Amino acid sequence: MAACTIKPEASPQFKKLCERWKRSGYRHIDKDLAAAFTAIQQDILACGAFRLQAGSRVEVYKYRQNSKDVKRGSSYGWRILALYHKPTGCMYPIIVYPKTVWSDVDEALVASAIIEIRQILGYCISPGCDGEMATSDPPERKEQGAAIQVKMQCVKCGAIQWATA
Amino acid sequence: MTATITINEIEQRADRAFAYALLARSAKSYVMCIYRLREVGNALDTLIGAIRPEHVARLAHDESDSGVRLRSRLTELHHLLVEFAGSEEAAKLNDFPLPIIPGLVQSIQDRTEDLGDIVENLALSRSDDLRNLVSCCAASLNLEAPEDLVGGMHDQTGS
Repeated sequence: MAACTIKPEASPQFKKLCERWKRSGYRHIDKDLAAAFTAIQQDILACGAFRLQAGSRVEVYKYRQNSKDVKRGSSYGWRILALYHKPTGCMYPIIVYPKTVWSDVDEALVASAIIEIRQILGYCISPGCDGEMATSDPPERKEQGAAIQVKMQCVKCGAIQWATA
Repeated sequence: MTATITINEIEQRADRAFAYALLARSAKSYVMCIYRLREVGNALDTLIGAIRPEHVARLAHDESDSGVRLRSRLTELHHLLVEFAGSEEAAKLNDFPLPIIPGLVQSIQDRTEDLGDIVENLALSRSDDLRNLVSCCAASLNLEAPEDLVGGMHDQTGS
C-alpha cells in the first residue's frame, strides 16, 4: 500500500474542469473529490485505481469516486485522471469528468468526450493538433440560443472554433 | 356411490381448475425468469471475475484478430446489458413483489457497470487524443509525459 501527496491545485486544467462541472450543476464536486483524495493519499490504489499509462518516472492513474449529485454507485460518479510523479511521490489530478456522460461506452463515445474536454480546456480539437486556442483577432462573438459564443483560433494550425463564453 | 352433481357445480370446478392452470403457467414463467436471470448473472460473474487489470492492459493494445474480436464482443455485450439494465422491464422487475427477482436484476445491473468500467478502460488506454491531452497537462506541470502506454496494471481495489 503506497501513500502519496496529492496536489489538486497544481494543474490549471483540473481547476478549470472542476469549475466547469460545478457550474453544470455538480454542486458537491469539492466534497466528492476531497473524499477521493483522502483515500488515494493513503493508498494510490484506492478508489478503483487503474493505471492507464506506465513510465519510469511518471504514470497516469484513473480513479472512480461516488458523486453526491448522481445517486448511484461509484461506477456512475466521477472519473479522475491523475499524474503520479514517482521520484517525489506526488499525485497531480489533471482531468475530472462525470461518468453519466459515458453511460454507454464505446471508443467513439470516449473519443467525443475527450474532444469535449479538450475544447473546455481551450485546446485545439483538430485531429493531430496539440495547439492551444486563442481569441481570434479581431475578437468576434455570436449568440447561440441563450449562450454567447466566442470565435477562437488555434495558435498552431490556425483552425477556427466557436467556444461558449 | 353415484354423485349427484349439477352443471353449475361442474362449471365451478372447471373454473377452479382453470384458475390453478393459469397460476401454474404464471409460476412457470416466474421460475423461468429466475432461471434466466441467474444464468445471465452467473455468466457475467464468471466473465468479469476472469478479466484482471493486467488482461485489460494487454487487450487494449492487442491488434491480433482475436484481440480485436474480443474488444468488439465486450463492447457489444455492454451495449446489450445497458439496454436491459436501463429498460422499463428491468425497472418493473426491480420492484417485483415476489422475492429473488429484484436481487438478480440488481446483480446484473451491477455487473453491467463493472463491464462498462472495463470497456471504458480499454477505450481510454487506446485513445491518442487522451495521450495528447495528458502530455499537455504534464507539460503545464513541468513533468515529462509518461513514455510507456502499455503499462502493467495494478489490482483494482474498491473505493
